[in-house]
Amino acid sequence: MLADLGFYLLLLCLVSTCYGVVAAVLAALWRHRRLYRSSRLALTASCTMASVAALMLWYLFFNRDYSVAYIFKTSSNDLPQIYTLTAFWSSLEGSHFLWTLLLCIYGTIALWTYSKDNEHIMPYVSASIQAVLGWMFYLLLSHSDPFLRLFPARPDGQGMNTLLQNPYMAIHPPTLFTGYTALAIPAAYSVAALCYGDITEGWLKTTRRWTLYAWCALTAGIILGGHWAYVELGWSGYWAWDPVENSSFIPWLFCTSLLHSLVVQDKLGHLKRLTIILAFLAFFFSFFGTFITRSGVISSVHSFAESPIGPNYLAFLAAMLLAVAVIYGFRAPSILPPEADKAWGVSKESALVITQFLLLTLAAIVCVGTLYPIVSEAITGERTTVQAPYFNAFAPWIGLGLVVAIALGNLMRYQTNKMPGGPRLMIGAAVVALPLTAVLVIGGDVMSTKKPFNLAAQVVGLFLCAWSTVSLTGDLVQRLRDIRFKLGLFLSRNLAYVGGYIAHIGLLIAIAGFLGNYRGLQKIATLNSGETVDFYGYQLRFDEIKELQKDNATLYQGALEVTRAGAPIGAITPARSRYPTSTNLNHEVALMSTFWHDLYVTLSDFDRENGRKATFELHINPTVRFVWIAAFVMVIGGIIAMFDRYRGNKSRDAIRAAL
Amino acid sequence: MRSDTEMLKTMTRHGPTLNIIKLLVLNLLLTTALVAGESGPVDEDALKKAWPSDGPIGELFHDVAGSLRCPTCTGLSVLESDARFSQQIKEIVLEQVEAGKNREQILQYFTERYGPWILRSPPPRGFNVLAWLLPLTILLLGPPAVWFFVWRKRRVMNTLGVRSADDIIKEMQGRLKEMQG
Repeated sequence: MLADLGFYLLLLCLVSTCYGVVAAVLAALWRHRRLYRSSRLALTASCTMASVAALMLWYLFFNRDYSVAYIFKTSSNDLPQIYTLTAFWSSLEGSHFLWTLLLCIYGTIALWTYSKDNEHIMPYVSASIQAVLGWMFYLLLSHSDPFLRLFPARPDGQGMNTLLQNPYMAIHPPTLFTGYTALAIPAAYSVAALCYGDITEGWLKTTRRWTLYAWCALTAGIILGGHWAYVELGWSGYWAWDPVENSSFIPWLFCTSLLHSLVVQDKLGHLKRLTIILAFLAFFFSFFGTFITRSGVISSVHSFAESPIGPNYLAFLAAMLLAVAVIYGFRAPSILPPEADKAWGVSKESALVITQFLLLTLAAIVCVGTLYPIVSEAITGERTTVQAPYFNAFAPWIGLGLVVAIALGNLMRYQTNKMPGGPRLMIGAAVVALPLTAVLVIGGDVMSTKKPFNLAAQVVGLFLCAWSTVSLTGDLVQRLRDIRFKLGLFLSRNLAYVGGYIAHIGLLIAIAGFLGNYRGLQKIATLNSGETVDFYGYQLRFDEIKELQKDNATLYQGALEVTRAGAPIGAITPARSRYPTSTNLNHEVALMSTFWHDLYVTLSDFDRENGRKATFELHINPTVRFVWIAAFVMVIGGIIAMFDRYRGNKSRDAIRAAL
Repeated sequence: MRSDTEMLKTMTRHGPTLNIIKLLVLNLLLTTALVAGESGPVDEDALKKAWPSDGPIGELFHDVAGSLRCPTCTGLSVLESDARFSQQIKEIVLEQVEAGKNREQILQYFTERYGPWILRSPPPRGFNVLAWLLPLTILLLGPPAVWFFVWRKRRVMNTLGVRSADDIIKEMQGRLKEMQG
């Protein structure tokens, strides 16, 4: 009963968004304010109805109502209560629904929190958002109805994918989808700016905030996904350049690039068209990522939701691209050039353009690598594989390029090739970076790297990261000194700078953390009961395999007593788990973390007869914690920057007055 | 009960047919079926072998096993995977390493048996050269291209008689000097 109601609510959503699009387009053509308001109300109504439908689905999950096909597919009686709620997005129908719901919510927020000087472009914004939403609702009803009934109702469900029964799966998909859907708002504003014919001041303020919001969510979502892979899949890594990972990384790169383009536009009024294109492409690629994940075109560890929905997505993507290209072709010439002509010399704006070039190049490489197997097979008929070695051949170079660009770009100033205190700061930073690098090299035990090339790459990389960090900090101190360390004054006017500073430091920490992946210390040990293995200063003593029940899983735990330098420091229990709904044994990773490295142990095999013998895979993963810390720092930086008070063209005028 | 959804479904089933995509999806479904069949069950017979990690043999073994893909997983090399298929491949690799074959010979052996698909990155031959050249082209030709377009734009503006603010300011300053002098 409730499920049928849910379906009809979604149907109403489709009707209401369709009305919303038509009303918004007519409102824009006739400049009819009340018609626009009705379109906004239509979206608000869709949002309310979709939320109610989502609550219904949750309620059905909670009650384990197996007369709903989706719940039958993704839930079961033995599933712990918390996972019956996260099962909502554990497969195609629900994750599609979550995507649509979040888009509804952010679209509604965007329409109600407009700024006064954007009022005239809001009908276009409303039309763009609801056009996408209408399509999503249509797909939801036609191809992935989460409320589809199953008769007769079964007594038990098939069960949730066992890999997804992990706390990170409760938070990772909603966070990532938040990033994807929040990118729809800058894209909608871009289309609106094109349709209207120019960019307004309020446009920049609103777009910047939404882009920052999406950026924070994407950053958090991607790293949470990496963390899930790290603790769940048991191969001791967090990033495999897997197609689904790549398809979340590409929008992140576009989003980051868009932020830098917005900065130039804010300060100088240039790069308007680039901003519009990037804002659209960022959203386009987040859609494209969804297409890759959902369609089964490319197989991946993360694609838990595949269906023949693919061709529909492809048609929509093509239509979206075509529509925006046509609008752009007709309307872009009407976007006014900035008031002042400009020579692009050696200056901060040029550095920002170079940064964008590096980010977009990486996006292009990731895209080429992800799609190459499909293209190659279609053209030559030969099956190929593109995995980590391909991406690792390019990505580190671009990463190091970015590290250098961050330092140089932040020391530069707008509209001038002067670098106040630049050479002194750079040389000073290089000197200060030496001891910092030494700390990183010793603490992270870089010298244990076996290959000379990897060793050199790490030392150089760590030095550049340290140098860049010190340069950035030096620039901050210099700016503070210029205003005699009046912190209150500084914070009230420079939150964007402070946020940018923190986010850049976060990225540098992350890159220092990625460099740890080169070290790769591992060992495979088969132990009899009571035997001890020595590994990297740790002694691990194996007792025996214990079988125990935890929630719905049967665990086969191999208890290991860990001692270091003769002192016992605790026990870890790597395990394999068997879930009632699956025959496979999952990894339950055991982690023992210090600041500098993780001891990462998986149980790869054990004696089934008496549990007195087992094989363990031991890994030391250096500086992994840096990556988790970095994500936190970057998101904090993004949030701080979001609170920057926009001062309109005043900053631009101030720069011009100073010349 | 849900005849309306069924109807919607049949309606969309006759939508535009994208043959290439369909073929691809079919192809990959076959692959995924393979993947679904074996996602790393533990070998019941024997305990896992301890692979060598030190010395020239260990290094070569790691290098080669790290360049071959695990046929039944996604994104992983055989080195990182403990699926049964990967274990077998690792055994062959170790055998050949111990027999004194070098990296190229072992990779060649696997390429002949499974096709280039088994390598984790496409070998830069034939059409695959494109996959390697494209990123390099963007990286190397990108900056000159950006510079060229920016530079050319300025020239066009100047030849059309549109002057930059700087030029006007310079001219005004020159005239001021003339008047003063």
